[in-house]
Amino acid sequence: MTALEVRDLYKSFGEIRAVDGLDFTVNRGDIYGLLGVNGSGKSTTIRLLLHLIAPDRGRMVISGIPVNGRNLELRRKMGALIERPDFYNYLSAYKNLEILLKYSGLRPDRRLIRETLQRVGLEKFGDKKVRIFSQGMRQRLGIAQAMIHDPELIILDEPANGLDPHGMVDIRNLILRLNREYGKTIILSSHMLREIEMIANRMLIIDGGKAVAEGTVSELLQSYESRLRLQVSDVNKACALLEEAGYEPVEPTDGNEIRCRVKVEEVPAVTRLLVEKNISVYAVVPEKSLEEYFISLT
Amino acid sequence: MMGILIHIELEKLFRRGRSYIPVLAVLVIIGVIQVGMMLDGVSLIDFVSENLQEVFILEGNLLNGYLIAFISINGLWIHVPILVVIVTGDMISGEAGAGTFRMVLSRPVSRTRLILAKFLTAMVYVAMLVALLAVLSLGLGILFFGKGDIIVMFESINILPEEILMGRFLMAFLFGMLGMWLVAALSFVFSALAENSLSPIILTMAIIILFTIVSGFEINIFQTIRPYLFTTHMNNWQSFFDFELDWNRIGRSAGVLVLHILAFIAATLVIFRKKDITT
Repeated sequence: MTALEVRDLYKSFGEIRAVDGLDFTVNRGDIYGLLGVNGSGKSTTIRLLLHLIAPDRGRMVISGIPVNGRNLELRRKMGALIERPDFYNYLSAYKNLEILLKYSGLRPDRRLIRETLQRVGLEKFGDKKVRIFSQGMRQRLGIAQAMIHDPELIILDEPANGLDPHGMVDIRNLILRLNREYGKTIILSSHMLREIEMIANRMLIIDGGKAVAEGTVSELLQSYESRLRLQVSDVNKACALLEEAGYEPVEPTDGNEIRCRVKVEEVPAVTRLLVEKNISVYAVVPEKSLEEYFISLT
Repeated sequence: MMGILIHIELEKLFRRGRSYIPVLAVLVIIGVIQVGMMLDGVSLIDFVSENLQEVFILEGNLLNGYLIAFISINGLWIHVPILVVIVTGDMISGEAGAGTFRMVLSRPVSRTRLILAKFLTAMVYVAMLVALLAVLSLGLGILFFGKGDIIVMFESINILPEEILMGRFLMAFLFGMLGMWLVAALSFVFSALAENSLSPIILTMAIIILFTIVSGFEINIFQTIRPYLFTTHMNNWQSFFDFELDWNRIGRSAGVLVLHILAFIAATLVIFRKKDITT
């Protein structure tokens, strides 16, 4: 089932076209990654989805309901952390969540607020004013406010910003739990490609407001021809064989290693070719990553 | 939902330190006036009434609580507007600048209702500030200086007897409150346009000062536009200190102020409903 459908979406700020004919679909239950360099249009897309800014043109449908300024009830189904988490600094974390629950049209349930603070690891800081919070604590509180009203679709814009390695693991596990245990559909925007690679099942790569690639993470990686590092018994012979078979460029490196550019599905053929010619293969190390793929596209 | 929104806005307003600056300022202003009049009030009265005493025989307690309240209410045209816009000018732009609109407006909250709730909250706050000014200036004035008649000189010399003064002051403060609601409404227009706290405060005060100067100049061209400036009508709290109340004039001014408030709030709604939340 479709959770979100975006068609032909455009938004300009003066002369600058921030979103340029974007099309994508998020299925219910997806963890959908939005990837792009700074200024690529990710945050503008998220603001458009929440109707914080109005599109110049295009159509956005969430759970079958069109996104526009009139469909307020739609926002009950959505929770979002957009860019940096900003709060009422003069209020406590607890009070901020209480107020945001009221804005959502829900009764401020003391137990729910305490539980949510606990889920993001802020149970000891609920009564402290947000003014004293570190960036990491604000980020956790930002995620708490995005999920406290039990939305179907959670949009997290750079949720790992400002978090230490432990915090990043905690948030990653929380996102996975929200998705797997509570069935939440999650849109995750990040420039930390490793994060997306680790938890997203589908993703969209945006550049200059345009979609440059969309699909499952494995599909996108498979289509990408990347480097393979091979440890072999005879470097010169292996290089000659691979070049003869059309794998170029083949570069000998230090010791008994060579590098060549191959597609993922061709790895078995490469190793078979070497072994059949009595060249021992000690290790096959793919050097490709989503990051490399991303850089090649943007 | 409107009730909930007003409750939230009131809670935010009264939990902010900034909201207490005007309260503190009113306390200081009233305190300074009271102490000043205690120390040197008699010589001030003698100096001001010197010319009158050549024509009239003035008897009784001229330095009284009503006179203190009258001096305090004169501040309604300049220092109370500053105190009002410090708080109301920040109510929209402060949230835009702080980035909290991103969270609030991604929830099922209508922009129109949010602005109306904010303005009703601003009205409550302004009413409380003017009430504080009235209670302190009248209460402390009467407590320390007692009651008595007052002599008021605007377009004519009016000697107002003690018996009618409490009612006149209450009406004047209520009219002053209407003027301060207008100041709040004007600051909302600039607040909806800005994304920082300072611009709406400066722009609102600049307009009030400019209009006040223009309406005070005795030049023909300025005299022509004077009836159309809201500052002219804001100053009509003075009408409550005429011996005979001119209800037509008061009613017309009150109507002009109400129309301005409605126009400013409508403009705020148009701006805010179309505003892209980019901060």
